[in-house]
Amino acid sequence: MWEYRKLILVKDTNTGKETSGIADKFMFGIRERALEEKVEVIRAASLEIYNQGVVVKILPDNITYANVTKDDIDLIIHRTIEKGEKIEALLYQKTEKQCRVVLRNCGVIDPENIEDYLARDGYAALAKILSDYSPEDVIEQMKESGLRGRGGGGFPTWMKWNFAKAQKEVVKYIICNADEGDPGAYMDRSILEGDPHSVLEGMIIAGYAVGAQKGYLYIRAEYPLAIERVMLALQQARDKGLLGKNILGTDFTFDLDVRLGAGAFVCGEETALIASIEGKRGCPSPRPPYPSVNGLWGKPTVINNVETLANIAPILLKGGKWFASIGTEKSKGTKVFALTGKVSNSSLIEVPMGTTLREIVYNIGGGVLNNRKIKAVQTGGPSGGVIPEHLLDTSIDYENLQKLGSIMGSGGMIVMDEDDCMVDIAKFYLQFCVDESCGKCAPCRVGGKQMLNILTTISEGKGAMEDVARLKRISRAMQKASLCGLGQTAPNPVVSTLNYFEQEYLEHIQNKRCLAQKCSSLFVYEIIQDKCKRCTLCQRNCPVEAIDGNRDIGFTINQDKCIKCGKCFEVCKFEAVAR
Amino acid sequence: MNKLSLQSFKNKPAKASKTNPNFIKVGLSTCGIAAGADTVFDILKNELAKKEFDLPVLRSGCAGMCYAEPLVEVNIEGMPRVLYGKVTEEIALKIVRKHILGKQILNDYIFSIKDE
Amino acid sequence: MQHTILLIDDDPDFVEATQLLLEANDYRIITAGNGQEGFQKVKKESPNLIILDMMMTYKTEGAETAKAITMDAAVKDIPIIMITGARKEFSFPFELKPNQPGLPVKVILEKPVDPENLLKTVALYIEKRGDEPVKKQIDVKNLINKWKNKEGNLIMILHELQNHYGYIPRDVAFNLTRDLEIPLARIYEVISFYHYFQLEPPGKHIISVCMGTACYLKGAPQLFKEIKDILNIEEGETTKDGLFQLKGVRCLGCCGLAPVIMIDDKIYGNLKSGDLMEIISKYSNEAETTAKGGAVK
Repeated sequence: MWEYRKLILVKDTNTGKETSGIADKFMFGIRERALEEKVEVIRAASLEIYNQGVVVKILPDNITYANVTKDDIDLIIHRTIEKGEKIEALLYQKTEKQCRVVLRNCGVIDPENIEDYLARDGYAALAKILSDYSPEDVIEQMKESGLRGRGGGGFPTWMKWNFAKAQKEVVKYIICNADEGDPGAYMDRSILEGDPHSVLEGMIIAGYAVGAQKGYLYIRAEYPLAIERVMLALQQARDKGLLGKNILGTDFTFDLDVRLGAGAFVCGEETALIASIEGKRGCPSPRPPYPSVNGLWGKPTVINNVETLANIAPILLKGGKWFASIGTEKSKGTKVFALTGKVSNSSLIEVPMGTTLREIVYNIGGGVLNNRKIKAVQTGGPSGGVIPEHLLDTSIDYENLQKLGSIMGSGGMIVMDEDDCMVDIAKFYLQFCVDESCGKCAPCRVGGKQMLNILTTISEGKGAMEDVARLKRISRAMQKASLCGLGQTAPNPVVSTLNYFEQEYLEHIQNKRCLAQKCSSLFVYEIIQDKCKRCTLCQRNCPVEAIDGNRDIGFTINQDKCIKCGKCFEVCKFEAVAR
Repeated sequence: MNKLSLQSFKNKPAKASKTNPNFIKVGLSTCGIAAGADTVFDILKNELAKKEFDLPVLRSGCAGMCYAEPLVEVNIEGMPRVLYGKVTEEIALKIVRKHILGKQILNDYIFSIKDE
Repeated sequence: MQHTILLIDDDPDFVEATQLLLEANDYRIITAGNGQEGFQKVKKESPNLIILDMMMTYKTEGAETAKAITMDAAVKDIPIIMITGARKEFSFPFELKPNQPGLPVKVILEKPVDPENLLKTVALYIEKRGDEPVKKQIDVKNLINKWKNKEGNLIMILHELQNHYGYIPRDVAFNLTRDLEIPLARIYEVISFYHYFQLEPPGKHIISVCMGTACYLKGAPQLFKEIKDILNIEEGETTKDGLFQLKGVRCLGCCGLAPVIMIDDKIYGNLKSGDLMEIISKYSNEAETTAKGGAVK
């Protein structure tokens, strides 16, 4: 029941000079007509509608107008507020962008209270399959849904389950991979912190379908809050008879335990993860045999990612067909992304497969930070690649991203603007993979290091033209010959930046310039004589005495001596040092 | 705690107990806490206790709007459901004094409003 | 529960008088006449508090003993009160101030010690510390028993040990080989593989600079450089006073607040260059005041 005054919400910030102050003008207009008793105007910081100019929302009528200008104020007050009519020309056409399946409960329920989860159909899918479905039925539904692994590879989930189910072994395991090591991604953490039971329910259902009795959640030790909430959820589920012996009074028995990661990115790879749970160094082993045949302690093991598991309960509750109706032909359902970097609204989003990158960045993310020009979007973290601005209209699915030289990955999506140097980015990701290489196989151990050396020389302006070909050659070797996914995909950021931004590499090599002003060795510092007040601050702070001159004749930087430390640039109070 | 059985799911009455329509919810996930949501949570609780106003302050996970953390959702019957963002200690006090006790929505801090 | 105090002093008169005083106040007293004997009794008895003389057989024996105690992971947290009459007469190779690497004691009291002041100081540190040393030792045993028969227990045990000590002390790792009946090499191959495990004791405050992609793009490298300049240390190092340890970390998962750093458990987000000095000095000031406060009491 609405008992409040009629409400006009106005979002007029960050929409340009023309439209600033519209909210205040609305207030004025309302006062002028002596309507303030009945109508209230509120300035909103955001109404979750972007790139639509000033947005005005009228409640309780629930009318939303977009691109409102000063001229529309009187019209809106007169026709909509006083007469109650809708102004068709101004109406905002709602296009539903976000679609919450995995994040259905995140931010809605109390993650530390199982009753909240139960009240929103929690464990109803489990109850449904235990009473009505055979394990074969569950796998059939999964097949119909078309769900593919959300951890990166995109392998159909039902196939993994089916392989493990077909094994004759009695002991089988389910593992939840929550070793989210991808820098700049936090989907798994948010799900575990916001709705841990949804993951547990997915695991229990997987256990039933495959015939497993035991499961492990492998969680990064760097996520203490997620661990705490998962532990609590396990206890609550056990108390309620949803976990342990004779689940819900049936003869199905399944239990879960937590194992902690210890800061090794390679442990996100399934065979390395298994080694880590076994208490060993997290080194990958060659596949096949796949874990679904020979996994944890040599037993058939299903490893699913957090987001994949959070999808299971809704699929079984609403049916595989329902799930398959979302998304594209080959990629079904939704995908959660951590949208970060140079974007206005860093956020955790969930969109149907097939949404375009441009829609995500501009309509959900609110555009690029400080209205800069977008250069590229990076997906897939250290195993992924960059997608340049002119390809932003590509709709997202596993195949399309692969075609563009990137991958879906676990869901990191990082916006880069014109201030970001692609050589520097490639170096950043490669450094990550070199640090994280377990060292077991030579292509990854040696190749990564060599590529990093070449990139470093290029970023220091000492690169040669042959370096580009060298980078490509080593990349191919690593992709073909590395033992596991880490090494096979480590060259991806280099390959994709070379593919789309080769010019930038050449600029570093031939002209010794970094247009994005990131590679510090390529800066040339100069004193702008017109701005220089001859305060001597730069000269006094220069560690190598590279600044010649005195108060009378002015100062110049001796480029032969300069070590490009940037001290003069930092200390100058008059912006008289340029780089 | 009573164990659930298959039967208890079958007999589950549709939306059994009607939940209290009045509550405040604070997003307490890692990024929320990093932005100061735990302090905001305590302030809301203390201030409401001080004013002897009975309103549950609940906890939730990440609502996805990381850029606007800490997030506070205010649900008061008869008033629109409002999500305030970038809530500082000061704004938390304002929420209690103006929005909850004074029934007056705050300017400038609304990040989302629920239509229904 | 009765608390145990170890009295280490070579002056039998002082020992006798102090023992009488403390026993009258319901403390259990054990005594030792020199540093070496004292150290052995610390290890054996794990007292709640140590009262230690500075000059015994040689003039810095007290300081050496205090250092040896704090280097031993099992007893390093037992508070030490130092008693000395030497403050003005002799020059030491270190300053006579509490809470410093050369002299890791909580408080320094001068001889002759005012009985009332001594009782107050003792009460303060016993209260602060409670029954921890005894409990801590049992913890490790319990922990091993809890995990002993579970498969793949090693990493989980190492996690709990690191939570406990802040790092994996050498002697503790050695004991593990015995308790779990696995080779030492197996334990160290795991510790050295995972970034999370540390072999050195951490600084008092750990500063972690997030080097995730979002933070990297928004200026984390500059922040990192600034912190290095302020503290004058490199990545992985600890400041000389043991107050700060600097680490670069993968991703703290707070990309919405980039760039971020974490000091101990607290995250600071949306940082700009220039913010850091203030944040760091908050921690160093805090340490200074507690040190002073302790000495006054």
